[in-house]
Amino acid sequence: MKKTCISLTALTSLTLAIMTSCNRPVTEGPAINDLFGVFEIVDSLQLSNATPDFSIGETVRFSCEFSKPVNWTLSIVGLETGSIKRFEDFSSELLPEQVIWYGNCDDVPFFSEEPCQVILSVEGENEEMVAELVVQGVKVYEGIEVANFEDDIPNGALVWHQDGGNMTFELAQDEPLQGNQYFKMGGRVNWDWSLGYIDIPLDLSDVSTDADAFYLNLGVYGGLSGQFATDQYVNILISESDTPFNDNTSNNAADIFGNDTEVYKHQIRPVDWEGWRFFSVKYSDFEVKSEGGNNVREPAEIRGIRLGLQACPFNSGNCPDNANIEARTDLDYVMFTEGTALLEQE
Amino acid sequence: MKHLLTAILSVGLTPFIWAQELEQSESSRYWLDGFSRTWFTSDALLEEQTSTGAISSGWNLLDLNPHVNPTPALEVFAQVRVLNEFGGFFGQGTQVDVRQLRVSGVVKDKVKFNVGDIYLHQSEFTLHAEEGEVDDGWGHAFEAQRRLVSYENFFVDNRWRMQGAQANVAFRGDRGLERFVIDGYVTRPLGSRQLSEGSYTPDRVLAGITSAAVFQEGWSGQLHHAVLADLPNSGTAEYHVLNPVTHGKIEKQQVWRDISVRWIAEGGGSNHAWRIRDLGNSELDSLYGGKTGAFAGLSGRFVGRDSTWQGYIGYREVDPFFRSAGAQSKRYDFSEGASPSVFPLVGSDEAMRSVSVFDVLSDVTIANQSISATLMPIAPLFENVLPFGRATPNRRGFEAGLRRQSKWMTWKFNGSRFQELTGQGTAEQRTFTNVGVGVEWEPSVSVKRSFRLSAFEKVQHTHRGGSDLEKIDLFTSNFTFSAELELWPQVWVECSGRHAMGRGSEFLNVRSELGELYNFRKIDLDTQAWMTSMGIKHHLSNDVMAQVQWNLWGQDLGVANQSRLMASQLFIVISATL
Repeated sequence: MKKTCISLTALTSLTLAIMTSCNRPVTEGPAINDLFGVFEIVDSLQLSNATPDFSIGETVRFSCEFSKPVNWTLSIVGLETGSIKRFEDFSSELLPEQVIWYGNCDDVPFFSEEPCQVILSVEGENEEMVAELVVQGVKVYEGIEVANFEDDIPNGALVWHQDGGNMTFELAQDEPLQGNQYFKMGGRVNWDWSLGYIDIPLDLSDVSTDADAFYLNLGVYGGLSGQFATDQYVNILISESDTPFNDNTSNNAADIFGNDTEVYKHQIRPVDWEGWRFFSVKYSDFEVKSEGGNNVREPAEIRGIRLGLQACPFNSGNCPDNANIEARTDLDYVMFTEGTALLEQE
Repeated sequence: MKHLLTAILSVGLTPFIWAQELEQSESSRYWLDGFSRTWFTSDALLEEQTSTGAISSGWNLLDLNPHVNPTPALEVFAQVRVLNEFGGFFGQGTQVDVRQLRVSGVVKDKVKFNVGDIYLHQSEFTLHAEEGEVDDGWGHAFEAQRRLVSYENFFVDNRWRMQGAQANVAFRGDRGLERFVIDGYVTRPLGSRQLSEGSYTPDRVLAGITSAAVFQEGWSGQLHHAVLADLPNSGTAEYHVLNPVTHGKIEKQQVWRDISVRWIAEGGGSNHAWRIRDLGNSELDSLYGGKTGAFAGLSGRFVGRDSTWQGYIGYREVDPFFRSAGAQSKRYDFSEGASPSVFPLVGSDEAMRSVSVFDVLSDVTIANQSISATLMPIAPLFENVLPFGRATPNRRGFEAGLRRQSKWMTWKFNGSRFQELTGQGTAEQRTFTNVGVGVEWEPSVSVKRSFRLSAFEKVQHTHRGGSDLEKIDLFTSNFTFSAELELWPQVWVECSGRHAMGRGSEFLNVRSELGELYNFRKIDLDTQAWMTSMGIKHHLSNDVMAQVQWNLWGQDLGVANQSRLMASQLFIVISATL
């Protein structure tokens, strides 16, 4: 008994001694005295550039230091457009090498050349730090343009719509997202889901990016006089078919979106807001619509895009409210980007 | 009420009768067993919230287990579940699915194996499911609810249910070595999931091997090794866990002054790191957050010659960064995302209430069936000393226990005192004191009727000094009682109760997805939670049991416009082992 006790105790002691000899930290985690201590601003909010010209690649870097780690939010608000860019984190410091504004926004509208207010707020604290800056030049987003509708609809594009009521598949100038014109898609069709679409031919054979890093970006306008049709949405088809774009002129618009062609689909559904919103969709997130090809999304093989308006038809009986309302999903600033979504570009 | 019970009984027993007939008609190569349960609850708020009305729910289920023995050494087992929720008609609310599937066998009378859904336990530091917050010292209180939660969540003993393969082989030795066993398993606790068209979570694999040897003169040894790892090529995630754990144990069994003594010396270590994959080129290029931790302990277990008393003493140290996913994963989910099924929203702001005694004991959805790669949130009201069982990291201390049994009475006492090895958020270290006292009285009322009364009180105190901000002083009490009296043959009246009380303050750890402690959440407890139950249990036969209970439960809330939640529940369960 005694011998056993001594042996096992010696063995355990040896193990414990080895454990103790390892460097155990004195503390784990952030200091409680700091976390729960009095909040103070050690260094006030600083901007590296109060008159940035984002069009030539300038940036604004922000710095600030608190007495303890906090949940902070830095908001930049365009005083004319209302555009907003936010940064959030849990830390005791805003480091200029980490908190950098490239002139982009969280959602549309885009910033214009305008004065902006910078507000730094801290969760649980009443104090806010405010600064001002003036955008001297707006950010130029890089990408492969599909349609900006500035001069006209894109070269070779085809527009088709049903013979419904108040069909507006045309360029308009009253409320563009970017520039002076946008493409209006609206109207009322009580017998069919599809109201109309615009087919745009594309040649992206120079693109080498994978579908995982290839984004379709577009602005969508929803609503009409504060109302929007039940289950209205933008139906997006991308074709990789080698079929000639429009050999058969007897059908509705382009030939490359047929059932036997390689087509991928994504829907922005429902469009149940009023005004402009901006969307970025990875090409790899498009689903297979028709299996006419290899079912591998290859950006370089893209030959055309269809942007269509669809809405629940009144005659189906599923959407009685649509009897008295026109569907509307306008489009602007349609662009492919490589690497990141358009609004996340640095 | 009477009609309702009759209807439920009829629905619950029909499949049972059918299954018995089928079993008799099949040859011995094919046989059936299974389980059938009818469960019904009606929940209602008391006091000021009575306008809400009662909410009823429940189901009928039949778990039918076909066993096929193509050869005497091989068995294919499946569990097919047919479940019909109350309120659903045939085809609506009815689910049929394969709940378990397993192939078991013996190869050449040497190697036993299981493939499919298997229940695994390795050691308390490598793979072990701690009973956790429902533990009450005796295990009798709220037996019906606990059995239901366990069955629905595959809780069997201290085992985790996983999908994979397991095999073991035993050798008989000679001279000094009497027996030698090797046991190994490979499982997949988490399968790859598609998050979007092009992104997937990786497969998570848990594998382990155990070797145990029994020597002469009472000596024996065990060596356990387990590894939890994500397989990077099966997904597109950036971080992949890697957590190997080793546990070695030496035991000596002997008799000293008519007392059977078992001494155990054990130790081991772990590493926990994240392999980072560069999403640009899909290569694993670095390790992040690699931390090692060790543990060691010495304990003794004593049993009196006539087994009327048994006791244990032990000392143990577990490093702050000892991480063992298989042993530290909790059976109950106390994260902020865990939503109680019954009356989850409280107060005028409709805030989510915290998981309480009632939920832990009876809510099927609060239980956790998966292995967590990081430390899960804890509930100090129920357990603050060893929330991750014996493998709780950052503890050093002693524990002791004694159980004494007389003719009608059994006493139980356990106590422990631990201290942190590393302070959290401060150099000051917490000290933990735990005392548990229980008694069970089982007098023989008569030859035919039984009576049992059990009670257990667990008191815990957590203390930390330091500045006013760092100080902790938390006192919790968990009292459980249960009693049952056999009124007539096979008919018992039973009651159970549990009361949890907490006073003081504590800091809860807030960890990142990678398990790093980056913040604390201070909680000030001045709260109570309770549940009581009274009902009748009837064994219709050896295999069929019916229970009807009326439960009353509540908890302090302290949210806007509501300081307390009080609710009642009618609970009916009929179960049949087929």
